[in-house]
Amino acid sequence: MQVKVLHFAQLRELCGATEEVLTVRINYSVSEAWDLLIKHHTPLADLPFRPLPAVNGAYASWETTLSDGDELVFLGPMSGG
Amino acid sequence: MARDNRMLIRLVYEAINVEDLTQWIHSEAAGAVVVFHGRVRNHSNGKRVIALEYEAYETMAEAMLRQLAEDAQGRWHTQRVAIVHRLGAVPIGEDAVVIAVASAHRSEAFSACEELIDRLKDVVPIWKRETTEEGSHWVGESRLFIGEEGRRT
Repeated sequence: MQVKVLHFAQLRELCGATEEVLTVRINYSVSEAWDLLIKHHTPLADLPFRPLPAVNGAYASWETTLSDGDELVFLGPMSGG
Repeated sequence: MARDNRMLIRLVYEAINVEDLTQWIHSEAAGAVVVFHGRVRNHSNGKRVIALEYEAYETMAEAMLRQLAEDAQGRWHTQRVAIVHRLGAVPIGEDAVVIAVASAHRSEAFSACEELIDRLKDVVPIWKRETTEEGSHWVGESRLFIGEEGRRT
């Protein structure tokens, strides 16, 4: 199945892309997707924080199981306002 | 953009039109209107700020802002809530965010407005990149990250 990952702010710069598509096995978890991203973009391993995952525009847990077509984002520390 | 008669949520790439907001928030049932302006200041941690740029995960940011406004309506019985956040480059001295709250009495409007800006900073996926004389970096202020792995970015 395929999962679309969007990148913003610091993570966007470290990944060098605004989005990418991961092709993964069924029942892949958010946590596994993060590990895969780190393999693709090694600078992510050195982040001084653990990002917060969001699936389809809502906060999700690391154990969340992904579905085909999901939109996944790892949020770095926010600073709106 | 979400707009109904009790809530106005917007992300904009130009100067925030405060006059529009104050017209929208007006209601004869509201005895109090509190308006908060979050502005770009010219210094940060003792350094001169040269530029500030905001970026958002827009679909989620709008959904979260809508949620915050709904929560304020539930908790503080606000009559109207408007939240407008600017994205892209924001010059020094201009509004990055404006929150307007109307309620029957002042205490609810003050409380709701303060809670809205605090929660916005914590949970809404918006980020700012600050450029000072010494360089450029992503600011991290969300309290969701404090203490995690023992550091705040």
